[in-house]
Amino acid sequence: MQLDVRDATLTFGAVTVFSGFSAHFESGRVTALVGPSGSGKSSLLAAMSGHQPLASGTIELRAAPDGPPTAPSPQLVAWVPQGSNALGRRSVLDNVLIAALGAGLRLRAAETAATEALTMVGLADRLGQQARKLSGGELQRVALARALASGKELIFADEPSANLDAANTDRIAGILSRLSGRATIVVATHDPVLVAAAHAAVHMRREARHAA
Amino acid sequence: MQHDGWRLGYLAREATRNVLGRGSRLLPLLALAILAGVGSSSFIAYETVRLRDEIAQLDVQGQYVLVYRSTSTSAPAQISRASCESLAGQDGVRHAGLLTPVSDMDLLPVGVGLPAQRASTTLVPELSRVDVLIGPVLAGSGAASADRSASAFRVKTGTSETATAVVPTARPEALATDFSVTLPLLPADVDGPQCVVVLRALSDPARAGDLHGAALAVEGNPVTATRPFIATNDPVDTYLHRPGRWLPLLLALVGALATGIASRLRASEMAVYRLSGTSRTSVLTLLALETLLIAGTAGLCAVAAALALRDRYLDPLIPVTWGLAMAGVWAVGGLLATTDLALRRPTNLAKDR
Ligand SMILES: Nc1ncnc2c1ncn2[C@@H]1O[C@H](COP(=O)(O)OP(=O)(O)OP(=O)(O)O)[C@@H](O)[C@H]1O
Ligand SMILES: [Mg+2]
Repeated sequence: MQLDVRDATLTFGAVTVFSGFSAHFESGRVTALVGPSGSGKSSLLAAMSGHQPLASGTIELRAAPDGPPTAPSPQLVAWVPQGSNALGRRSVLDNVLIAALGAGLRLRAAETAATEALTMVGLADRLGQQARKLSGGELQRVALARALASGKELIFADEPSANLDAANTDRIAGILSRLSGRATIVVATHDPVLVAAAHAAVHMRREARHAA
Repeated sequence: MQHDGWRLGYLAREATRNVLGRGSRLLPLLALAILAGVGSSSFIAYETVRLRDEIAQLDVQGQYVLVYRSTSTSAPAQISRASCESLAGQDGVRHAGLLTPVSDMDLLPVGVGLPAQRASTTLVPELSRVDVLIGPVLAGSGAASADRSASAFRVKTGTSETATAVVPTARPEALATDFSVTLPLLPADVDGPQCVVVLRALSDPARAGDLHGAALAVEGNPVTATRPFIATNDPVDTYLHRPGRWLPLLLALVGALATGIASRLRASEMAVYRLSGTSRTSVLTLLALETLLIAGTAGLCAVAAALALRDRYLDPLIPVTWGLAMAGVWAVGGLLATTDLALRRPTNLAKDR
């Protein structure tokens, strides 16, 4: 699944987050989305997953380079959110299971997919534990496992290494690299380790706020 | 409209786990639902028992007694015994019959010069078992009379005949059985000056009055229905208009509000569902199922409590209906209070964690 952003403008009321922005995200690759805080990385990810409409411009998804374009939709994207959001009172397995069930898998197949995904992020021994008893770094890995288990071809990770130590950041970089080929991955990050692990980088710059 | 792969059965499984799962944040809400359900039916039972007590008290005071007698005190009417006694078989009538005062009599060992009256057995059914009823006021108080009220005993009339007697339970004052000696009518008594009708509790004496009056065969003066006791307030009307009857709906609104608050505390969880590809429709379905599970518990507990207390109600359908209304208002209100969580942008929800 490749992504093309053309001449995109995104505004929140009078505030223009970015305008005339264009970028290409290669299929089956990890692309780092970099830029200063407030430059609109999270907002672009929201727009590319159909959660946030553009003021102008287009975003096109294509299964093949010369295939027909489709519009962004939340159901096509697995999102690894900034922060440690989780179903705190549910088990680690259940937290990942929802992504597989939401993708239409039967319970048995979903359990297999969730267990595999959790094994991949190194949490195979924590399946039955309540999610709120996990550390911030472990919850980031649960979020990543959720994206894996969904089987989606688009994975957007928003600062997946925020608040993580070096060892955990390396681990996440490793997981993302292993995933490439299976999925198109966009990682919004300030972290040089993740940028180095990516195949390409797209830069955003900070707009002049409040157009006169 | 967005679509995802969620099957309804799995959303139901998800809802069940979110509500009932170990350490669930919704367990307090479920406890509230159980309390509200049981509370609603118990409260209605309590109020009904209170109503029953009030009615029983009014009954003894004579609220449901009608006395037919001549419109003029100087010229009594002759009401036919047959027509008066046949009222006993009518709808809404407990007892009916002639009640005729007779001259004072002596009864040993009770006393001498006691006020006496004769009554139809259709009005005072004990008279088909025993020869005479001795009012508890005449029989005196204390253990002896308490014993006597249970079983028949023997007394001597003035002419040294013996008769079986019993002390009757309390009756409306208009029947005078509490402070008189009551004997059956004689075969020769084919009419009398007054016909007494005791209606079933909760019936409307004002309406019944004319209806039964028309069925009486009367000679001499015309008769009219008089009511010896008229309650100043109608307990049924008070019951039907009591503010407490809205309690189940109040509980439902509290429940709906609590559901809304509890869901708001879980806003970031809704974001987790949405960001992992769950559509708005599915999140809405999940919230609806969770709310239904909680509101349904309230309804079910109300029905269960109503079944357990079924003897206390005027009609067990009353608490069941209120219980189901409570569940309905809770479910709809709770869903209205949470809908926006499914519709808001998940990237915003994820922030306020
Ligand atoms: N819902 C919103 N309403 C109004 N303004 C918003 C909203 N979301 C984001 N913004 C604004 O848009 C701008 C870009 O925000 P965004 O979160 O996309 O930046 P970012 O590049 O992800 O920053 P960071 O690196 O700090 O995460 C910010 O100035 C922010 O205040
Ligand atoms: Mg951001």
